[in-house]
Amino acid sequence: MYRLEVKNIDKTFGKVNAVKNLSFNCKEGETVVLLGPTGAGKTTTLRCLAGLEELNSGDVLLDGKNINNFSPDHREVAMFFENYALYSHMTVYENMAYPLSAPNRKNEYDKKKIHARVQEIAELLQIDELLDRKPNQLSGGQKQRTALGRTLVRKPKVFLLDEPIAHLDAVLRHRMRGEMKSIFQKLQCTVVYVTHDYKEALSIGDKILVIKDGELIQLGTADDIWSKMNNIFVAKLVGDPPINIFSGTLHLKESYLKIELEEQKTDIIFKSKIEKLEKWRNKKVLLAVRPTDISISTIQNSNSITGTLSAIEAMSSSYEITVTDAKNKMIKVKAKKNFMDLLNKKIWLNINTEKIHLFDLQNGESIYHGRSL
Amino acid sequence: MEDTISIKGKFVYYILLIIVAVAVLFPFVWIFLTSLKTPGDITCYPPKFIFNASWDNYKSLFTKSQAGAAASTLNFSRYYLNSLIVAGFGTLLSLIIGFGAGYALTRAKFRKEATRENVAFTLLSFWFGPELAIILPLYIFFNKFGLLDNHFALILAYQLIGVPFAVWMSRSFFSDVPISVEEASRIDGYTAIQTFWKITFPMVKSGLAATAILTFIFEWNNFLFALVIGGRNTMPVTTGALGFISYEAALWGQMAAAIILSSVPQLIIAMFVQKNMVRGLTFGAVKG
Repeated sequence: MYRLEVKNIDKTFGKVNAVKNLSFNCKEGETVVLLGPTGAGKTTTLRCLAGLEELNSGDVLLDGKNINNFSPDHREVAMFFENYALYSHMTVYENMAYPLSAPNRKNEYDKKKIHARVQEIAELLQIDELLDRKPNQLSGGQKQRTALGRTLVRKPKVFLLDEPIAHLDAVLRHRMRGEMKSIFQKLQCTVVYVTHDYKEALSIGDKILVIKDGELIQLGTADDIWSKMNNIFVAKLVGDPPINIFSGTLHLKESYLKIELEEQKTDIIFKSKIEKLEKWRNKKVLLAVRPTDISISTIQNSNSITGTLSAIEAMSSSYEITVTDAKNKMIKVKAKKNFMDLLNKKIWLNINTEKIHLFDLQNGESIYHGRSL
Repeated sequence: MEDTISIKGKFVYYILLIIVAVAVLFPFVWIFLTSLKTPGDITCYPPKFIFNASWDNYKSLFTKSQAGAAASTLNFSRYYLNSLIVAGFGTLLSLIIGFGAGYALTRAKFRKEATRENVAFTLLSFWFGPELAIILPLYIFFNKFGLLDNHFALILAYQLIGVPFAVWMSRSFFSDVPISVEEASRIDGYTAIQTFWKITFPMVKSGLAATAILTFIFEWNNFLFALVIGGRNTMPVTTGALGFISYEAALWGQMAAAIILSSVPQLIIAMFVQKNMVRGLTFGAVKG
């Protein structure tokens, strides 16, 4: 049995359909991530699960029990708010003890138990030194931990976390990403986690739902989302620098396939089972290549396209290189080497055809993933 | 060089402050001095600043045998009590209605979002209209129901002043409380009413206290409603003080004493307002 089942939920605000026929399941101890750009309906979905929004249709089941008509205080869920929503008139300790001293948990927790539990979680989150402070005496990171503490202090059936680390600075965010995963495992949490950051999604999620305009685009593991994206939207959402996209026409030859690129004079040629792609014979397709799957060269090879190396950005362990083609389209390449000597010179880019992705130009749906994937 | 400028600037600043303070405080000091003078000292010209001060005017307010025919009908302690009853209960009622409506106007879901502002603005517009414009219909209304010279009627009439003010002020305080804080409390296991008392109220209480105090001051100070709808039995200090002027004599000394006494509650309350006007309680609730 699933811990949480979401069945065909629909939510509209006036004329805006914020969540469209969304379904997913979550097993006990599993972390499900809702990934999507701003306004995709992720937070609305979470609010529907918490009972803060009424569903237009569909069902939410917790341990097999329909909780559609349960008010937020009777659903066994805990929620982390993106803006932290700390109780400003209470200390950190009081904030964290608040959910435990709720009237409907009176039999579960006495003062001693509350104290022990708050201490335990505060130590886990390293905020045990701050318990006497008020929220306005805390830094952004400390507020975030306090809000997380208030959420984790309970033992609900499902944790709902709305962008829990989005507003932290880069260093802290990176650290928390790792910590979150271990905290969830330590506390054996069942989590629905909302984020717009693909890195968070891939590192934290056991299962990832990519959402766009309230609709489910893809449901899969981190690996699926990264390398077997079922839509050009997913390909664009995941990856930094973003995936390179070229449009062209697919030609099926006897022993190989050829993509005639629109912006380039060269064609991309690769081998694959032709039958699967029969439907797209001589049709327009989108070719997507990750910046890591392109290499820079000064001489022309087969499957290489050309452009001028226009910018080099040094990243921590690699270089992000921008190449501009004849039509001023930017192509991003991630390289281990600094190509400073080639700056502003004409170069060739070799595309690793084993790692290319093809999408239908019309509906953006995936039609082919490279052989090695 | 800079220092001399800033000292000069400070000097001008304090001079201006003193001028403002004198202008504001002079009437009050003058009335207070008058309340301590004998009738002869009050009317003499040029006015005396050094005189034999006595509390006689204050004493006579509370003794039956008052000098002058006009005073024989005066009952100052009764007026004082009336003021306390009418302004006190009036404020209580204004706050119950006003805070409830203020909260509802901030949080309730309206089918059309414009309705929220329309209702709020309609209420506020009661404040724009002059009291004189509604005093006649109000008089006829209370007369028809036989409610003239009745404490309850005055309390009702005061709601025209108190409710819009309490709604408008409390609404702005309630809207400072982020809705996510209330939602968090609901999810933490509290009902809507428990959430209000445990979360919302503590966050706005200083604002509501300031609103309560100002409402009381407005209702205590009201003159017109008390004059037209009130009568012998319900007369508050504002209209009661008029009784010191009659055909025979104007009892300036006693009138001044009455005015000083009637401003005591406001003075005490004003001191609380200053403390409670400090806002910013909700700062830090939302990420900053």
